[in-house]
Parts: sequence; structure tokens; C-alpha cells
Amino acid sequence: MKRKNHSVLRSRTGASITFALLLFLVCAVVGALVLTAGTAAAGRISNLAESDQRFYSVSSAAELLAGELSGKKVTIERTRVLTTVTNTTYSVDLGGSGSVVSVVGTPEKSTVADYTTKINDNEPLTATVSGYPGAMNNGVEIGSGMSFLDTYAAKQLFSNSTNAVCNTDAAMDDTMKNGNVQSGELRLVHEGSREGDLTYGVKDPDSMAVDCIVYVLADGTMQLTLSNETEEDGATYSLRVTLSPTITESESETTKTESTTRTDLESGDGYKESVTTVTTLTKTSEIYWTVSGVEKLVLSDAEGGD
Amino acid sequence: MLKKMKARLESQSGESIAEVLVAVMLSAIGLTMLALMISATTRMVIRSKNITSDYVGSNNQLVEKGDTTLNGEVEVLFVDPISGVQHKRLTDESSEDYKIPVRYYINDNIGNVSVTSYKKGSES
Repeated sequence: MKRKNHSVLRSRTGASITFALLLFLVCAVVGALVLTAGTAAAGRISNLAESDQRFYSVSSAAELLAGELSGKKVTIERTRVLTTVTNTTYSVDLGGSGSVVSVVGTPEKSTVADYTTKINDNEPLTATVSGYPGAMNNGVEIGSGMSFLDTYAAKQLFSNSTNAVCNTDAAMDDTMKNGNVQSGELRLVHEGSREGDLTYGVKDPDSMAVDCIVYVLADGTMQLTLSNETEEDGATYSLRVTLSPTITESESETTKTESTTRTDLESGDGYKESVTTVTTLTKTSEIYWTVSGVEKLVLSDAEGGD
Repeated sequence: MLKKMKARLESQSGESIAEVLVAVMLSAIGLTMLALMISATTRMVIRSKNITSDYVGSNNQLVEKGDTTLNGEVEVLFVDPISGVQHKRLTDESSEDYKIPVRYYINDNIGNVSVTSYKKGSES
């Protein structure tokens, strides 16, 4: 009996262990598959939060910028004052009736042009040109340090140069309805990491920064393309806000004789008359933008304007 | 070969007790493991479903901007195309060091990640 037991214990026949190993393998594989599927489903939520953050960063920035820029009027007033002094010398004809006055020689005429350009509340830009209209006049480049809207409104109007030039006759003829295509950049950043400010709550303010490409078409339509990009995987969310311009342009011209002075020459020789005529041309251009559309962009659209 | 298979099928001999014990143990471990994995996955799916539900519900606040959670400031940096200098004046109403006061709305119902939207304004 003891011998039999021993042989049974030492017997190598049968296939139970093979089936058991197979079952173990099947259980392990099926279990791993189920667990992987579950983990993948849970992992999608954190990706959802990241893509949602890109959406909220860009849409909040778009709302903020649109609110800041929409309806803000920029007024540009151009004035050219032409002051013409005409000196005419008259002589007294002592023969015959004794009182006939004749013009001696050709009247002398000289004109000075004073230009003034005022862009909203900025310091007026002025220029004076003697010997108008023949004298050289390179004009004045519009000043730096103006606000974003003032700068783009001025560049929309003064379109005859890369750097907008005012205070010339050509600049007096410029119109906002036929400007140059312009581009530029804005960047919205958050003061989130400053001590005592956003030290909690907004966990990663840097990731909320939004880059904005500004594109202004010839008719004044402004396109703001806002993008937020994830550094790790380069995923981007982009929105384009279109702002349509409302342009009002008017002009007025007045001419008046400011003064006439008479200087008697030597007795019997006649007199000299000085007439000062002032012609003022004023052109006022006003522009303001209002939001006319918001669209989501696919990557290829976001890379450049139309 | 056929002879060998026939002999095996007709054989009356059984497996060793040790083999049976090992086989039963292996099967038990395998089945327990499977059950635990299914159970863990089910818990994970239910938890993620709840988190998604809470997250989506809280996201409505981001859209509606109902509850203020934090005040802050946003700077709009603008490179002057004329001078090339960077400054912050968007319009004539803003100063050179202008910062727009904003209210942040934060949804942190999703573990370590938070989602934030913001709107102009501040609340003391």
C-alpha cells in the first residue's frame, strides 16, 4: 500500500496541469485586456481637460479682446493751412488826370503751409513748409508709443509708406477706405504666478497664455487669430475673430482774407499793398471696429491669413 | 503513434495528487485574478463616469461664469510695428502699464488637472 501511494504520488501521467496552465493563461490575457480597456477610458478624461483648457483659454481671450476693442472710436484730424501773402506795388500816375494807379512789375506771392495731424488724444504732429507748393516735404512719421488701436487706425489711413507718414499733400489725399494690408502680434499673459495674487487656484497660468496674430485687410477689416498651443504635444486650438470697420470721413475748406495792409512809398511814388489770404483744409476720418464673426480654425487656416 | 494514443485513452491510471493540487491552485489563482481585474475595471469605469459627470456639470459654470473663484489680471502685450517696442496700451483708455482685471472660474473636479476660464471684471 505504501509502495502504491508512493508510485501514485510520483506518477507523471495525466493532463490536469496542462489544462490548468492554459486556464491561467486565458484568465491572465482576458483580465489584462479588460484592465487596459478600463484604464484607457479613464485616461481620456485627463486629455479632455487639457483640450477643454485650450478651448477656454482661447475663447476667454477672444471675448476679452473683442470687448476691449469693439466700438472704441479713433478720430484722425488732418489740417493744412496755406497762408499766402501777396505784395503788390502800385504807382501814382501824376500825368493826365494825376490819380491813375498802375501796378508796378509782377506782384510777389509767397505761401507757407502748416500741417497738423491729430490722432485721438495723442500729441499733435506738426510740420511747416515754406515755399509751398514747390518745396521739398518728406512729412512726419506717425509717432511710436501710441495705443494699439490708434496705431492701426493711423496705418490704415496713411498708407503711402511702410511707416505711415502724415503732414504731406499725399497724406491729405489718403483715405481709410483704401488702406494697406497690415499685420502684427498681440500676446495675452496672466499675472498668475505673482505672490499675493494668483498664488492658488490657477494651477498653470503660463499654459493659459494666448498668442494673437493681427491681420488688417485693405478695407479695414481686422482679423484676430487667437491660438493656444500645448508645448508637450503641439496640439493647438485656434479661433478667428473678425471685426468690421465703420468709417466716416468728412472734409471742409475755408478761404478768407485775414488782413490787408497799405504802406505809402515816397511821396508821389505810390504805395505797397500786402494781402494775407488763409486757406484751411480740414479732413476728419473716424474709424471704429465691431465684432462681425467668430470662427473655429483648423490648423492650416490658423497658420496664416487669407 | 495511433497505438500509443489508443493505449492512453484506454488507460485507467489517474493523475498524481500533487499534479491535481497544483492544477486546482493554478486555476483558482487564474480565476481569482480575472475576477479581481474585472472588479477593478468596473470600479474604475464607474469612478471615471462619476468624475466625467461632475466635470461636465462644473464646466457649465465656466460657460455661464456663475461663481467667482478668483480675481486676477491679464496683460495684453503689443509690439509697436513702428518702433518695434513692446507695450501694453490697447486703446486710449488704457495706460502704458495697463492690466485688465479679470475673474477666473475654475473647475478642478478632475484630480490634478484644472480647467479655468475668465472674464473681465473683479469682485472685492
